[in-house]
Amino acid sequence: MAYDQIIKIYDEDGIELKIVPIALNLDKNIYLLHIFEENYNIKKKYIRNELILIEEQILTSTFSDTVHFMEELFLFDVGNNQNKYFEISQYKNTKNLKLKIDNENSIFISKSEARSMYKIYNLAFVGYSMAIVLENEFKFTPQILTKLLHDNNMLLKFKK
Amino acid sequence: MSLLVLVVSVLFIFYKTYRFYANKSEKKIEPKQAQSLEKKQNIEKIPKEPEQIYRLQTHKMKYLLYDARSDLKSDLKYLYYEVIVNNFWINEPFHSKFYEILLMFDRNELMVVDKNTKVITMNIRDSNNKMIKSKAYQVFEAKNIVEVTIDEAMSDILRFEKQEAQTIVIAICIIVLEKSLHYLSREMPQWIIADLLKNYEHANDVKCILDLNDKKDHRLFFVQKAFQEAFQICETEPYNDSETSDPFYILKKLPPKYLREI
Repeated sequence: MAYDQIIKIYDEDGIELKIVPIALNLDKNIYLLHIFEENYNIKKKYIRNELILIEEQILTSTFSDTVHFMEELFLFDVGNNQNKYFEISQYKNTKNLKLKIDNENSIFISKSEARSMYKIYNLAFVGYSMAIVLENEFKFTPQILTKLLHDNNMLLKFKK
Repeated sequence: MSLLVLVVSVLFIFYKTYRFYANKSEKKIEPKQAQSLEKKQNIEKIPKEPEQIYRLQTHKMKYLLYDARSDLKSDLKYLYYEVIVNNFWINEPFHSKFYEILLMFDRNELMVVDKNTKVITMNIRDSNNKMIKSKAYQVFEAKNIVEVTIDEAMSDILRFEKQEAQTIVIAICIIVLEKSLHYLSREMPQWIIADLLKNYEHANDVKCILDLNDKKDHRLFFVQKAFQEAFQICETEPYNDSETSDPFYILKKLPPKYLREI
């Protein structure tokens, strides 16, 4: 986790939220955007939302979609053509997952990549409380998310 | 007795001749005396002119200027003072045309897309649980680009003749308009540019400058350099294309000019 990249946003109750991008796979530019609030009195951190950022696309914006995305990744070739985010492709007897997104270059994920991404995803929740995220999830609007990405220099091709 | 009468008559004649000559000599003296008297009187009559005290002209000259401080909300008001007031460029039609362009930049949210922006596609569920696709950009505010570019190029612009310098200033505004978008509607500024130059006396000169700039003429190198610096100096803003766009503000009538001291 890159703590120097933490920036602040506030939910509708004025509670300060933080965002940290967690790299799931650097080669494929797949990030988990971790949104959480911190209670300094009881020294607890609460997850408020999770987003998936792939190259130049925010693929999921709600917690349930993100969990769905990770579970399809976990199932790998056990999944079927009802998958929402991945389709299973086979090349020389090797099965891969192909992302169903509009992108110039298609993105394939191998089994080891999928396993490692799922592992990092589970590790990302260590030390965080999941109590609030289901009942009080922070819902993004396009404007807030755009501002957030801009403030975090994530709208720049080349970081200054 | 007769002798006495003779003596008396002789004396009388002497007296008369004496009187005659005496009168004559008196008559000769009189006008001279009168003149000198008159002169003396005249000198006394001429009133002494009061000593003139000229006041120093301390009040400043007044010029017909627009009220940029209240009309323009952004920092473009400083640009008005830098271009118009500091150089006394109050000649028409340049003065009004430049102010019209400033007002247009001020009232509209025009933006220039950053060359280094990523275009991030966002799939976000809205409050009605509908998936909405939008795109996020990093943009510059066009008014900032105009202000900084003219500010950077001003020292080079002033090396030209007044007429040419003013044409270059208008041309820089038009170049920014060509680069800018109004809420990503690419068609909008084209007819605005045509509309702006329609009634302008020196429109052809402006078009010549635009052509020269397109060909990257070395004489206008300073304009290209000023633009580069403006893009480095100005801060970027986030922009999402799902934002509802404001209608384009079109100026119907220029605000009145006021006499102002400089």
